[in-house]
This record gives sequence, C-alpha cells and structure tokens, in this order.
Amino acid sequence: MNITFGGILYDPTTGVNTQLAGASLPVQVDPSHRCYSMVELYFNLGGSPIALYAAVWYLRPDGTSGPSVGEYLLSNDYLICYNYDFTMVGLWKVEASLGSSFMESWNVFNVTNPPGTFSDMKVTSFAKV
Amino acid sequence: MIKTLEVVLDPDGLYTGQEVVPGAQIFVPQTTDMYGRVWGVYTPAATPPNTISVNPGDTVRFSIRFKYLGPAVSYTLYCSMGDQTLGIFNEDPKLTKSFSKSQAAAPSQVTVNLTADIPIPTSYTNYGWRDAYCKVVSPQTLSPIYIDCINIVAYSPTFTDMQITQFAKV
Repeated sequence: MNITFGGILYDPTTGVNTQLAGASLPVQVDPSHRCYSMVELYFNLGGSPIALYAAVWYLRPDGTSGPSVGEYLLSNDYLICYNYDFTMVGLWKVEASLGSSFMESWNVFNVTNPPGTFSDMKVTSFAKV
Repeated sequence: MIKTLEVVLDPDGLYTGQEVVPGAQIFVPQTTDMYGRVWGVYTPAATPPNTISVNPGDTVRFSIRFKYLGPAVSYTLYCSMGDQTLGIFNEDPKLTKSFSKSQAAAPSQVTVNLTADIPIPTSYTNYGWRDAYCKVVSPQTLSPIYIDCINIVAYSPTFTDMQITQFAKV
C-alpha cells in the first residue's frame, strides 16, 4: 500500500505553512507482519539523503493522539510502528521534522489487524463423560 | 491376479499453500460445486492418543490443543466422528457438532487447550469403530484424522441387583 503524504511544511520563524506540493511521503504498511505494522517513510525532498526526525502517532477513535513511535532516521529509511496488543487499529498520523520545520498529516494510513492463525491442531485425548 | 485400486484425487482440491506431506493422507470433503465436483483438503492420518468404548447415550469428550497467534477472534470449532474409506473421510452427521468459541488476543503464539463434547444419540445403532478429527472452520485448520479411536458398542443385556423383595401367601 502506498499513500502519498500530502504534508505541510511549517516554518516557526516565519509562521508560514507551505503545502509540500512537490514533495511526497509515501507510506507503506506491511500487512504481512503479524504483531506490528512497519511503516516505511521515504522522504523525497530532493538532493542527498538528509537526517530528520519522523514519528507516527496513533489516532484514537475519540480523535486524540494515542501512543507514538518516533526516531531520527535518514530519508528513504523506515519506521516500525509496533501494535503488539492488536488494539491500535485504525488511522495513524505521520509527522516529520527537519530542523525547526515540520510537516504532519493526519489520517495518513490505516492499520488493520491481520487474521489470526491457528496451527498444530490435535486431539490430545478422547474420553467418555 | 489381484490389482490394487489406485484413487487419484484432484490436486486442485488442496487449499493454497497447503502441502501434501509424506505418509498416509485422507481427503476430507468440504464442498460440492455446481458441477458436482467435490472439493476438500488432504490431512494426515494419525494414531489416536487413546481409544475408548462408549454406548449410545454416552458423551464423547474431545480434548483439543492448538496454537494461536493474532487478535481476539470468535471462531467455530468443528468436531466429527465418522469413517474413512479409500482415503475419504465420511462424517456421520449424528456424531458431528459445531461449537462457537472465542479466543483472546495473542500477540505471541499461545497454546490453547479446550474440550468439546459430542453426545451419542440413545437411538444410535451404527455400532463399531469410528474415526475422528476436528478443525477450526475459518481460517481452516485441521487436526490429523485419528483412525479407530472410538468404539461404539451396543448395550448388552445385563441383569443385576437381583433380590426377592417380599414373600406373600396368595
């Protein structure tokens, strides 16, 4: 799944929000992972890879921010959003900052739980009751 | 000259990703399509963990174990006794039952133990050894098929507790 991140670059020194029309932030959610969702963030801001801070936030059903995962990474790197208890399904927010500027977007991607897996089924005993 | 009967089963009957492993295999019919073709899965035959003898009116308890990984889920457990003939498992509808179960979320793989009871109807007369298996219906996960694990035997007439309760002049 590829989702283009139509973010806003905010410059606090000028207070100007700039729509990043030319930059995109595709997000991939890997449904093959059973206990977590891996979000790959590719920052195509042009030029050489740059170090920046990226975070993803879980959006609770009531609209508030839930647990987050954030770390410094290079462009074309990825971030892993753990969802160990299978409860953080739904919409997530992506935020990235570079220096004093940041861009964010809500409802960037939707995490769904993979189906459960049953295995090694066996009958251990038969009994008359 | 005696020739063995070879039964060739449609390999398309396998579900995607399921492999036929070496050893005795039994074809478990699942559905019949509009062309009358029977679709099913192959599952290995296995030696039963134990054998029991029961009478009509008794209840057979399956103790079942499996592993689970994933979110909380409601599922259907299906247990059947029947007969396998020429590699085909024929379920006895009188000895087959579905159970609604639920499983809590398991972020890492857990082992689940549960039981399922199937009553033998008191009117049941198809005596003899039955084979058995169980499965989770969706996502379909089958146990091996256990051969000759439950022997259904008729009640033999028994006279017990004989006593004279009274003597009387008549």
